[in-house]
Parts: sequence; structure tokens; C-alpha cells
Amino acid sequence: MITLRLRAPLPCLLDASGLQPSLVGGMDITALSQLKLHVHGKARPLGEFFTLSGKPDNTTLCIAGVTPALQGLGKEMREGLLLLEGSCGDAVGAGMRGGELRITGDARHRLGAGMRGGLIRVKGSVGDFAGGPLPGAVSGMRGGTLLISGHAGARLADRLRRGLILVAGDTGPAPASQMIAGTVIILGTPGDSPGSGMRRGSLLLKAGADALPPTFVPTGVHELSFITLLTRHLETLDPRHARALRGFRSVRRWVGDRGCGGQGEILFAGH
Amino acid sequence: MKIRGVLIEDTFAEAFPMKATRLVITAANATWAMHAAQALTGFATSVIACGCEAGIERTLKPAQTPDGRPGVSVLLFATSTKELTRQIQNRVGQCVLTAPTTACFAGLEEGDPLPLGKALRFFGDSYQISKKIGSKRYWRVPVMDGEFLCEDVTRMTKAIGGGNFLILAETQANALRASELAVAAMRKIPEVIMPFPGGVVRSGSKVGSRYKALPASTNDRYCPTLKQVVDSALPESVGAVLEIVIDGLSVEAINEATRVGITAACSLGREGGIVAITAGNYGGNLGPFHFKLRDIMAPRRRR
Repeated sequence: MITLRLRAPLPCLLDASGLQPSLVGGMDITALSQLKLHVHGKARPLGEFFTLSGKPDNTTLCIAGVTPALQGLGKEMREGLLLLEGSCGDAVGAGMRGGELRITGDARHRLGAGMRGGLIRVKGSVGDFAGGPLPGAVSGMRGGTLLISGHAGARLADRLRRGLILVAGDTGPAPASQMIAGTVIILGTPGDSPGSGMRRGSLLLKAGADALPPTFVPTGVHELSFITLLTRHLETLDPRHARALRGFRSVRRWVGDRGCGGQGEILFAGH
Repeated sequence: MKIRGVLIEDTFAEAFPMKATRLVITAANATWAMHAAQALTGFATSVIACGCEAGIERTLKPAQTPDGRPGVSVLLFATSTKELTRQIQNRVGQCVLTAPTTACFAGLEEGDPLPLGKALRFFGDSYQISKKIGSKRYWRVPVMDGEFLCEDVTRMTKAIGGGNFLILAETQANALRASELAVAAMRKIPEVIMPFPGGVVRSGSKVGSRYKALPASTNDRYCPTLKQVVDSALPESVGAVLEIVIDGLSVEAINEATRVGITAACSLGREGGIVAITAGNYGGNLGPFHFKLRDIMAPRRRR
């Protein structure tokens, strides 16, 4: 694994979208230090900004001391493991298609926007529109998995089309807004109006029944087999969070958003 | 070769290539999973008239099933992909979808995909829900007791149908007892089914008939009541013959099932009325798989 460590705080935004394990991980230290990064429209060698250590490995790349000034981290990543030590800026993992991205700190807005595959793990919290659409896109995330150990901002999983998002903490307003399909799990407290404008998909909540929009209708208490499959799948990714799903063996199910003819479901645990 | 005085004839079972799939049926309890599995594998003794051959492979504990409920594993065999597809849809649609609390999953991880929930989901009349978990897609179909959960596709694999052996006994009771012991032992072997009722068939057949409409008819050479009438294959001491047909996912599985089955049948010995073990074949020219009884029953060398 090669580790890139920022020499000093960046004075400007830096396009880091090319720093991916499959693209640069196999290069030796010398070649990698000469790799050009674009700053203010000018090409500058990577070694000017980062110290490099470790052995070439095209499966894993670590970037230490990450700051929000590093733009486009993990953009359209397809394979390998990218470790980001620090707190990231906007749109990390945007359009990601495969591989795994681990963030040890926080991430700002639009984490995993428009992603189609792969796995993003965040130890900290994330900003607004995580798993949502890229600017101008019709749908949000279309595949893959987002595991967020902290909290999430507003409009989590906005227009989510496919995939799985788990937030261990609380969220801002309107999680799963305009959700098209897919699965969202919030283990903390969701913000107001969860699932507003929801068409299909599943939103699993442990709390927040009082914040439901009035356009959701109750269908009673059910034991749904797919939750066991979901739990077992999560156990392979994150056993700690999978244990929290045990409370969903029996769920109170609400369907909506009937205000827009939606057939999405909000499942409350512990009934 | 003799085992406990029972002659193992120097012959072979002739078997044929088939297409197969494994389904896992689960339910709220083992009873309802078994109800569904028995219905699904009913009237599936022979491809001659049933469309497929099917049977229960084994019961599964909750820890062995995808949804953590008691389950039953079943195998279905057909002669073509098209027929297997049709049989899966008809049988799961009529026998599993209809049974209270059940769910249905693919039991093989590899092979060509065949539609399972992908076809049955339309029963949901647009209220069905697709759920992709990991790399697999499932369908949640609303039904009157909640939801029918069904995997999108099952997997088809190459398989073998028509492995067999015949138990030649002095009396019908002797043959039946030996068959029961054999089937009980063979049911512990994975990847095989014995598709006939109780795993045993009494109406062994030959190809063709004196009647134009019939593709198969009674195996007269093994009918004890015809011993002096036809060119009988039965010695004077044999009063009844029962056959055990084996379908399996691999040559090794059929070999093992044959071995434990014959061993169990021979446990009664010659003094228990078991005269000989033989096998059905067509001269070796029709089926590419030949299960030679004496090779299978040869003592295993210790490593």
C-alpha cells in the first residue's frame, strides 16, 4: 500500500479525482511523485503536495491528512480500496461504480452522489444529500452501499433509485425525500417529514413516528422475511450495525407518500 | 461378487444427462415448509409423463436457510431448459406461493439463471416490491397472510437422471424391507433424490410396447409372474423385484447413493431373502453415464 500524506495545508482547491488505487497504486514512488495534478489550470507534480511512502500496490491507496480542499476524491472509482484519513469535502465517491472507500473523519455534502456500486464507509458524519443525485440528475444513488457511523444532514437518500444506506446516528430534515426505490436504515432520530414524496423503496426507522407526513397510511404490524436477509447481508459488512436491526423482526408498516400515489414503505422497529 | 451372500451382478445402470435446479423452501415452521415441498415434488416421478422428476433432498435447520426459518431443500430435474423453466414456474406458483408463510430461494449459487420470482412477481398485480440485497434480487409479493418472498432467479446445472439398481428378493416383503432400508440410507446423501413414491418403484419399464401409443411398458423380464412366459431374467428363487431410481447433480453423488443403498439392502443378507442386486440398462448405447455395480461396491482402499 502506498500512503500519500499532505505536506502542508493546501492553499487552493486540488483536483484529486485521479488518486485511486487502480490508477496510481501500482506506480513506484518516483513515478507517482511526478504525476501531474491540476491546480488553477496548471499541471504540478504530486510530490510538491504530498510525501509518499510504502510499496506499490494497485489494490490499496491511503491518503492521509485529507482536507476539504481535495476535490473529487473517489470520483467514478471502479475497484480497489481507497483509505481517506481526515475529513473530506463535497461529492466524495460521486458516481462510484465499485471498490471500497473508507473515510476516517467526516464528509461534506453529496457523499456518494449518483454512485452505482461499491461501498463507502464513513466513521464520522456527513452533510446534506448523501446518496442523492448529481446536480441535474433525475435520480440519486443507483447501486452500492453507504455506511455512515455518525449523523447525516438534510435530504439523505434524496431520489434514491437503488442501493443501501445505513446511518447509525440522526439525520437532518426529509430523509428519503422523493425516494424512488432502494433501502435506507436510520438507527438514530430522523429529521422532520421522512419519506416525503417517496414513490417506492423501504425506509427503516427506530424512532420518529411522530414526524411522519400525514400522507402516509398505516398497514399494521408485520414480520417481513426480507429483513432477515438484510440483517445477514449487513452482518458481512458491519456486524455492529447489523445487531441493531434485530429490533426490526416485527415492524409497524406505513405506506406512502400517498400524496403522490407512492407505494414506498416506512418500517418502525420494535412492535 | 457377493455381499452377505447377496449376488452383485456384473452389470451397470445406464443414466442420462438432465438439467436440474435446487430450491430452498422456508416457512414459519418445519411442518409448513414440508407441506409446500411435498406439494411441489408431487406427481414428479418420471419425465415420461410428469414433465420433471423432483424430490425432497433434505430438511434444513434455521441456520442453514437464507431467512433463518426452518426449510426444505428440493431438487428438480428435466430433460430441457425450457421444460425445467415451465415446471419451476408452475410448481412454485401453485404449491409454494399458495402455502401459508412460505418463501422460496435458489439453492445453487452457480449456473445459468432461470426465472423464479422474476416470473411469479406478476401475481402481485403491480403491488410487488423488488428488493436487491447484496448481489441478489428478491421479490416481495403481497398475499393474504403477509408477503411471499421469492428470489428473482434460480440456477440451473447439468445433472444426471436414471441411476438405478434393482433388488431381487424371495418375497415381496423381503424386497420391500430391503428397499426401505436402502432409501433410508440414501436420503442422507446430498445432491440426490429418489423421485418415486417412498423412493421405490415396482413398475420398472422397458422401451416400447406392443401398443403403438405407448412409449414404454412393463419390464416383463423382471416380472416374477411371467417367469415361464417370457425370456425371464429372474432365477427360480426370486419372487419380487423392486427398483430404486436415482437422480443426482453429479456422478460422485449417484455413486455414493448407489453404494450406501446397496450396502443397506444387502444388510439383510441372503438369509434375509435378498437374492441379488442388478441394474437397468439399454445395452449401454443410449445413456452416456454407466454406473457399474461391482466398481461402485468394490472395497475402498485405505489411504
